[in-house]
Amino acid sequence: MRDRATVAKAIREALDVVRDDGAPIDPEGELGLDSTQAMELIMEIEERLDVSIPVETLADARTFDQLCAGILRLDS
Amino acid sequence: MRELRDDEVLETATATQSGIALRRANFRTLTEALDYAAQGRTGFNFYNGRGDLACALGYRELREKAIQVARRLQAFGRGSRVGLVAHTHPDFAVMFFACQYAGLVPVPLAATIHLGGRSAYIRHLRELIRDCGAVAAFAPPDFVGLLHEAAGELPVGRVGTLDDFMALPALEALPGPPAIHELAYLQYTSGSTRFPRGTMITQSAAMANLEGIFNHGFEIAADDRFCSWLPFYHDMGLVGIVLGCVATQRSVDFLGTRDFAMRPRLWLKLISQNRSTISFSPPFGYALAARRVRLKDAEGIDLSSWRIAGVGAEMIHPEWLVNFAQTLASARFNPRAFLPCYGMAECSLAVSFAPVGAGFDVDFVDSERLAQHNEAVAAPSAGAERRRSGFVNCGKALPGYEVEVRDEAGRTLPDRHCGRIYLRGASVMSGYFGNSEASREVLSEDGWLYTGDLGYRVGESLYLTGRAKDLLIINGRNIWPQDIEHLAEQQPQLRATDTSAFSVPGGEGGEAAVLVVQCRETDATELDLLAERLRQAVYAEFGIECRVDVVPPHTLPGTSSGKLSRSSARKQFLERHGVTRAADLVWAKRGFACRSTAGPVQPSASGHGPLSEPARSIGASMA
Repeated sequence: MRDRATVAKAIREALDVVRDDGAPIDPEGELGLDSTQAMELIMEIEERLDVSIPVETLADARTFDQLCAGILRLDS
Repeated sequence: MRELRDDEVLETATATQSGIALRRANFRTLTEALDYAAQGRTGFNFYNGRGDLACALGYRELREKAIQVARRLQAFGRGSRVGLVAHTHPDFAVMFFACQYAGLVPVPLAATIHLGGRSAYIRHLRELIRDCGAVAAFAPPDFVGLLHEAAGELPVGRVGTLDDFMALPALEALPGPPAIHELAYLQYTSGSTRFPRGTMITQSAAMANLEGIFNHGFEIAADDRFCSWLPFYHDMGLVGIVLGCVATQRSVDFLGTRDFAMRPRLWLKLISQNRSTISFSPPFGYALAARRVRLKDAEGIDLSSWRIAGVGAEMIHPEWLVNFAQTLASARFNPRAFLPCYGMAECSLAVSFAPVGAGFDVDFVDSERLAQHNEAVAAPSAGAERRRSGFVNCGKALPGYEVEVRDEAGRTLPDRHCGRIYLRGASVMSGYFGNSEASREVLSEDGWLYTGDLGYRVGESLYLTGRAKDLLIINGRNIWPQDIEHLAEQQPQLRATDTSAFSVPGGEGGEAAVLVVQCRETDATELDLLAERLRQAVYAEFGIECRVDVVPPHTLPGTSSGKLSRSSARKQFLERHGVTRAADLVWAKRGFACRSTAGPVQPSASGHGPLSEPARSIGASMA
């Protein structure tokens, strides 16, 4: 069982790896990644949390918060 | 029926040697090809995201399952279309061949979704299902929820997974086998989401192409083994690999497209461990692998068995291939394995192949003569005053094709003159499904196909220089400008003649999307908001970053027929900003939205510099 803080931290770290502009993360804004970055992001998150993120979770994750919520739902 | 699970690991993949005499795709139909392959020991192998074997599906088992399902499908009626979400999954293969045995027409549907792209994907699926009039639609478990949503209000008889189709009542007798003039499948060109075009490929067209590829493109051998991450909904993945391996009784190791995009090194690892000899990729796949594979990943990888490293599906940038070969030199990758080829879904798959074992060969021509006079004059050495452009030799057309390079007036051009490429031959499509107007635009009554590509010939060799059509190719994905323009026109401030979308050179030889809109609004804040809304709308729909340029009314150039000219708009855009490629653009603020005033945009006072090279924009989008 993962808590929100753990998941949020993993996403933040993954975003830092993938993006190189160091811009602040807007939890409710779109993640704004191109397709390659998006795949790299998912890989980084999967490795940090040891999960496999299904395609439906990605389809619903436009923002940081939505991605976080989607990953938390995988546990339930 | 078994289902792939993440934690499932099988012991053995199918053998490389089939144990039966090699037949190089000399069959009349796809069912004949599978009937023969089923007598041997080869088959499909599916690997999971960790690179472990998750499912081995021998051709014998594939045929048995396909026939079982076919007994349950035939009630849908001969010639009916069945939509298949073409995720890399064994059940797709079973359904595809079940349709063959049942006399139905399978229609592979894209399985690509970007972050937050649910509604765009659902709309896209719905459009395709409606366009082909599918009587049934299948998806593997991961995608079936999305498929149900897409098919919801459409008159589709049955929607579900393989289990759902197996639950249908089975008839005892199978219908007669497919005839050579019957459709083998519909393949949607990865084109416009609003104007989908499904190429109709008959059994004889598909088999003619496969026979050409594996005898004349490169001669397949009894110890060849394939490895592939190409999506099953693209011609190269579906026809070249899925159908090609069945037609030549070869074993193939499949890695999911999304798994490749996440972990490109798995592609190389599988080739190394299975001693694969043949693997294809668009150029960007090689670029992605070269960029993401670390030196330590290359340790323990041995690519010396890889004799055919096919390259196709988009313009080939030689530097990407050089980079890949250098990165993997220590893993014993042989650069002479590169095999450039040219093709398109409208011709089943392949048109031409470069000579095998020669690597890629670049023809350098005088850039100025090419731009001004459409002449590809050889320029063996670069001079200080002379720029030159390099084009990769895509080889000679497969036997049975006639090729012509024509000028705009339709006159045939001689060697080294650049023009539009036309083709005629047995593997050309019968037309676009249910769209005689679009078919007439590209297919003449006497069978000549207008490819939409530009190029020139030297002897029998074909060189591609670009596209006559306005298609954008971003991250390996085709995007039609009218789709972006249509999206922009949903904004209340914009009308149909106010928008123009096109691509400009990005970084490292890739392309970047640009949307220019003209607007009467003069308030700077409103204009910024409009640009940002448009950028977000394009991102939500296509998952790409688009440079939005808002200009005053009457800026966009028209043509004599009153239509906007995208090529003129592109030229004007680059001149307005004083650049030749997107990477050099200077923007007023962070992000890609920018607003044009007269003259080139100046760097803002806050000191934001040029946008960094979008090196990441080259990678895979086919996730």
